[in-house]
Amino acid sequence: MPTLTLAGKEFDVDEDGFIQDATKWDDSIATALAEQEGIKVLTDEHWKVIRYLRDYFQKFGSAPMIRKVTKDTGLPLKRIYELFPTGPAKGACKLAGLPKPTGCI
Amino acid sequence: MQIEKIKLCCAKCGFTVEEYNASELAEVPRKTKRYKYLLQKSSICPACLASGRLKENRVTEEADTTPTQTADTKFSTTAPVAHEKHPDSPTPMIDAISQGVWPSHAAELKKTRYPVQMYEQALQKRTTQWGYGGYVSLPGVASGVLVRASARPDITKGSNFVRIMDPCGNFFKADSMRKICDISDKYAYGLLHLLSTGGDLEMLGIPTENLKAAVDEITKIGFDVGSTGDDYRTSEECIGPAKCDLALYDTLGFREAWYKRFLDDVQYPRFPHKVKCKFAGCPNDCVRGQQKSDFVVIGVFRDLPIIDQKKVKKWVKDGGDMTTACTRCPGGCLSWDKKNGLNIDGDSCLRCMYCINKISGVRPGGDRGVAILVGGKMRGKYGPMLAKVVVPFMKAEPPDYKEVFDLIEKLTEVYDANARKKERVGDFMLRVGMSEFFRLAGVEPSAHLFNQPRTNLYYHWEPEEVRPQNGAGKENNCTTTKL
Repeated sequence: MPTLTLAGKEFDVDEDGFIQDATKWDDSIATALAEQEGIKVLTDEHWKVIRYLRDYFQKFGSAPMIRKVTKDTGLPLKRIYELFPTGPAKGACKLAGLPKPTGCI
Repeated sequence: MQIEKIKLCCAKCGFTVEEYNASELAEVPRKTKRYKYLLQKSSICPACLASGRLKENRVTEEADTTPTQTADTKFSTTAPVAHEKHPDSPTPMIDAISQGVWPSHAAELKKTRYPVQMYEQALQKRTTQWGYGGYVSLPGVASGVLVRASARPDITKGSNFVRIMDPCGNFFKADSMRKICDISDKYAYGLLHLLSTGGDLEMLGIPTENLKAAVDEITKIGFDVGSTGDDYRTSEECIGPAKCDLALYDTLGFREAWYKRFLDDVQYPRFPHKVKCKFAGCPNDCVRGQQKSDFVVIGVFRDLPIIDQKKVKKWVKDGGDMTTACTRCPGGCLSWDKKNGLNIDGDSCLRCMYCINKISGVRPGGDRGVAILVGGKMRGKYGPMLAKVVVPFMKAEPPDYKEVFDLIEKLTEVYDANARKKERVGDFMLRVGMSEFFRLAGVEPSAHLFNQPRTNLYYHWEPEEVRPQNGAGKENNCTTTKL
């Protein structure tokens, strides 16, 4: 399994760069991953989505459906795609330290 | 042995347009007819593009020693011979296919940068050498780009392809087509798939490093890419009033308006699974929407077909088979006699378009609208399904078709909120049941939709039109009239 060094720590990642162990996640890792994804600065809107995804994952153990993200965060779908250019599944879930969502987006 | 050959050549440049054996020409009436026809008319030479009558040349030639292909062997599968014929060629099977009588796809593939060995190996091993498909995300293209993996990494690594959304009615200007071809030559295999079953144009074989540049150039010339992932796929519509005289509403304008309203949903995936829409102009449903798509809008008429008795009489006089037409009418409501002309029994008419397609002089009625069908599909969890009628009649009013679009949006909201992940609309409807689906959608179900679902699909009944159940109504007179 490939490993990735972020903010001075080593992580096991899958072939798409998703962190395998979600418990090791903290804010500095999201900032480090954002640079890889091509996001320069993490704004409040970014953090709103990331925190929501973390909370949902800790409660239910899986990534929420896109409809639920747009409804609960109040951000329209288009805006989420602007915030995370690679999409909510590949971009936002990766930053939030969630495992790769099932299904393809 | 010597045989006489007749060649039809261009008078100007001498290019041979058609060639016949003299003996064959005397025996086969089809060829004689074609030969006479070509001599009479003025035709355009494919070589020099000069128009004019063809010149006849009679030549005596040595007969070929190899036996010519006869009609019997033409359709038999002689593929294994190919190995013997081309032992040194790297692609013996493809060479065999290239020798066909029709313009060959294999010859076309060979001219491009398509990895021909993949096809050759597939033919030899009798199974495809391509692997699974999926999406790669591309910044700026929310719906992503399709990728087809390769099961044979020794031949090719796999290929990406983008779907280019077609203009309404699939009308491409020749100039913009040329630009698309240039992009394909520059960045991809130089191979286009025209058009896919979803109604869009696929540019095949773009390497991953070229994707961004290719998509940028496509958007620069005014086309849009998308139609992948869990969103609205490119909708397909019949050619409608642009070319067909049966279209009951403006399918092209409808789709234009549809794109104006739902373009975000086409490009940004948000549904549980893909959603396909098709717009058919009349109940003939040439886009086969009922079989293939989740939301179908079909043009329907409420009143009876309009009969022009003069034209019908002329049709019969010219040899139209009215007996067959009357017996084959699915509702059994046609009757014909020479004095009164054609008559349609309104009670049993199904608005099935049979008489309109068959008999010259019968046109669709004037009270027109659309029917909305939901849940057709070919694959999915529970297999193929036909779409079911949800709204049998609805007025479609240009330019924004607000009423129809509001309903479709509501239905998709219901689907979006209640369906499971990767569940098609048809599967969702089967799981929750039709009554629950109607309750969620807030659509008033009509009993006549389901009593006889195969016969009364497109007819909207008013309450006062419904015949009383206790037999007080008149008898059903849908018998076939004798001539």
